[in-house]
Amino acid sequence: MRFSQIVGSPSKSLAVVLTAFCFGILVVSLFPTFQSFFTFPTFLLFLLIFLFIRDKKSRLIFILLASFLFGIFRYQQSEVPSYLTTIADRTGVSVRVQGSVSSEVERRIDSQQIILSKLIVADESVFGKLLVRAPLFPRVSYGDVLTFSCQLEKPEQFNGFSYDRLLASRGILATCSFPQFVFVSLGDSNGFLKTVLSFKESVTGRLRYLFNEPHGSFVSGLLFGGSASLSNDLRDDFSRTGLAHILAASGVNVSLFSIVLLRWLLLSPLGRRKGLIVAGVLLFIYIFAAGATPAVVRAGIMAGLLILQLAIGRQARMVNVLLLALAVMLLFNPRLLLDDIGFQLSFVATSALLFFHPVVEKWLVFIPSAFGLRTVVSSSLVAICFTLPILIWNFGQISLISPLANAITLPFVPFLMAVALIALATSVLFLPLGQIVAVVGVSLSYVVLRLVTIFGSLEFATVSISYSRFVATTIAVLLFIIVFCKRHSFLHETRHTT
Amino acid sequence: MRRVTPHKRSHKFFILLRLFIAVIILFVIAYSALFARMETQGLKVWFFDVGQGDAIFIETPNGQQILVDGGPNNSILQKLSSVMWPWDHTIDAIVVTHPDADHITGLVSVLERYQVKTVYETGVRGGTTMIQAFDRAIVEEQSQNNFVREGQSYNWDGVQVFVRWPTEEAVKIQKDRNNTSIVLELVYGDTSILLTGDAEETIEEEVGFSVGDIDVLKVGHHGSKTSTSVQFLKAISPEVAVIPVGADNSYGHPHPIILERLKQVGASILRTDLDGDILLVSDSENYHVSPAFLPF
Repeated sequence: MRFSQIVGSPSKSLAVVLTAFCFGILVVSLFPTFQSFFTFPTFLLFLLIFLFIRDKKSRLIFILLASFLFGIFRYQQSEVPSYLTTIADRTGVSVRVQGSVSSEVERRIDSQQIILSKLIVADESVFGKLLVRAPLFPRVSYGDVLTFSCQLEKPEQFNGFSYDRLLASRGILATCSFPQFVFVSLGDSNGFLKTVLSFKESVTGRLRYLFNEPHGSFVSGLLFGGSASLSNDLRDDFSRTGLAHILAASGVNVSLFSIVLLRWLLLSPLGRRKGLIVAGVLLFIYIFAAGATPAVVRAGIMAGLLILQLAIGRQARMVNVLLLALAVMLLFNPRLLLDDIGFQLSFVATSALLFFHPVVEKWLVFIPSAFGLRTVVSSSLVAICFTLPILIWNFGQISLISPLANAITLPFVPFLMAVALIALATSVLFLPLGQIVAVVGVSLSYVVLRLVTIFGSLEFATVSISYSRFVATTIAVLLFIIVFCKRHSFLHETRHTT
Repeated sequence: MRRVTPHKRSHKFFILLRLFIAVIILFVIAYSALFARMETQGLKVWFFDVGQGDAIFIETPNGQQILVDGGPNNSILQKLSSVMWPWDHTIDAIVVTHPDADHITGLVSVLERYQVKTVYETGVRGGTTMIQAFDRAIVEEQSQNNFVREGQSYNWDGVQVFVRWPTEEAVKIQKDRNNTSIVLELVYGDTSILLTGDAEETIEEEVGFSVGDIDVLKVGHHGSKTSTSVQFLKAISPEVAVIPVGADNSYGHPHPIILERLKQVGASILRTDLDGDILLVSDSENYHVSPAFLPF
């Protein structure tokens, strides 16, 4: 692609401008010391030049520079100003803390994970959020105000995984486990999120009634993300088999499910147009039912892209849509790019599904297409391949059993999600009918979970990789080369459904 | 619109039929363990592996379900769904031996998820937040509440249940919650089982003589040194001792001395930390205790 070609095409210009913004964020996250007070003025200067010159080529150059600098500025802005007292400054000693619960409480099998904001430490209000691990009771929910004493700790890396940076990308600067003398009082927050979360609670409550444990937790994890309430043994098995991603609120499961759901809807008597509309509406409802947390909204955006792709049909335009979605998400939280593995997995998986799934599906003609089986297998395969480098980079180990475990269990997942949704819907109309449907779901869930525990119990399930970052990079580069060589067949692929 | 010819309709019918059969096969696979145990008649007692705590599930010969304590976390829910059908949302009774967190935490979720008809408890309370949460759950459940005292006896569907502790006095003094534990002796035909909660030595000595010889002992207080005295073991001479205890627990339970004492009286020992879930089956003449696999 020549420079003049980009100048001539508005859509290509937009693509490079968005890329420049994301690149700015990437550069500054890689070199955090790269700071100066001049970023914003320089950005303004370039913007001014862009507005007042006529030459098209120079205009493009200046807007590129401006958007690159804007990316840098946005990241710098998200940093905590050094003059503020943060919760991280109060770690190491036992103090009296007050804070209000600022997001959904994660209920684990033996504890609750609570995120507190509006913190007051020893009568002084401090900046940042606090992650608290508390006993199961008293039960805490969104909006409550907690007062307790606790020894605050700084989050740290473990096994090479930057847990501290992941938490920091969510604004969490300190942790506290099992505080003492917890006093819970009802907060006054009665907002939108409270309504959404209590709706979600009633939905998951019904799921847990229909599906007994651990299936209720598993199914609600599949639908809404989160493996919190599964037992620790099961959670270990999921990560040992490389299947943890289907339970992370990473959007991989949402994307997988929407691609299969779309295929079903498009083949249904509804027809293409109505099918797409129904899918869109369902997705919208889903975002709110799942609690509209940032992760869920992002997952929703990604899945929305897949619907949009079918509506637009042309792959080339999808590059722009994808870049725009990425830029918008990074605008809201620039730290996602390097620090939030859930975001990375979700973004990579969705992009891979968007561009490579149609081709890969054509390679797999030998798989029967009944019930969307071929779609399920091929989309799982694509998602697995492209997320592999991220998993190796972050966790330094590879699950040898992962490809097999994924290939065998993932095809069940969209069916299980669909059955769970049908069970939910029918139980609202007529409870016993919902229970009958749920029995189907429980059976499916049983098979999946048993496979996971069997695969997870194998001795050789996971191997630690030395030079994990090198290996991850090599795989990523290989994938990139394959994509680059085959780009024409991918980009010009148009999707013909029905 | 596509016209559905009779041929197509029958084709669709066969697809549905195949789906239906697939679902039934999946269900049978999923519940194969339960199907297999449907055949076993008699009394079944499960000692669940729920970590550092007690959770004992009793199924009487005609299928009444009684849960004694709920363990220290919510893993009891997984255990229950492995031994109950998915549409079964009722439990006939729960027994709360004493309100310590490692016995009642799981019960709160059980009370929320299942309909519990009867609650057997001592009425002993305390100031912990756990007890407050438990109290609220009991009130919301609106089940029949029985206060259990020494000397009472029940007949659960052919299984004789004798309450051996606490006395009215022990509940009143309430020095130590462990020593207000409900101690139950279950007798089904020739099989007798003693469930001791967390009762300590002083209580055991009083209980021991009234109980006499028993077959299976649920070792008190997770094998702590404070329970299972030599005199008590001599008085009841158990053949099998089951210790519900968490793997790598911070208390060092079960204590080596206790394991030694149990060996001295010739009891074979089963531990939930090593053996996982443990099942006792009795047909009123013979009984059999062994580790039994539960999938989750």
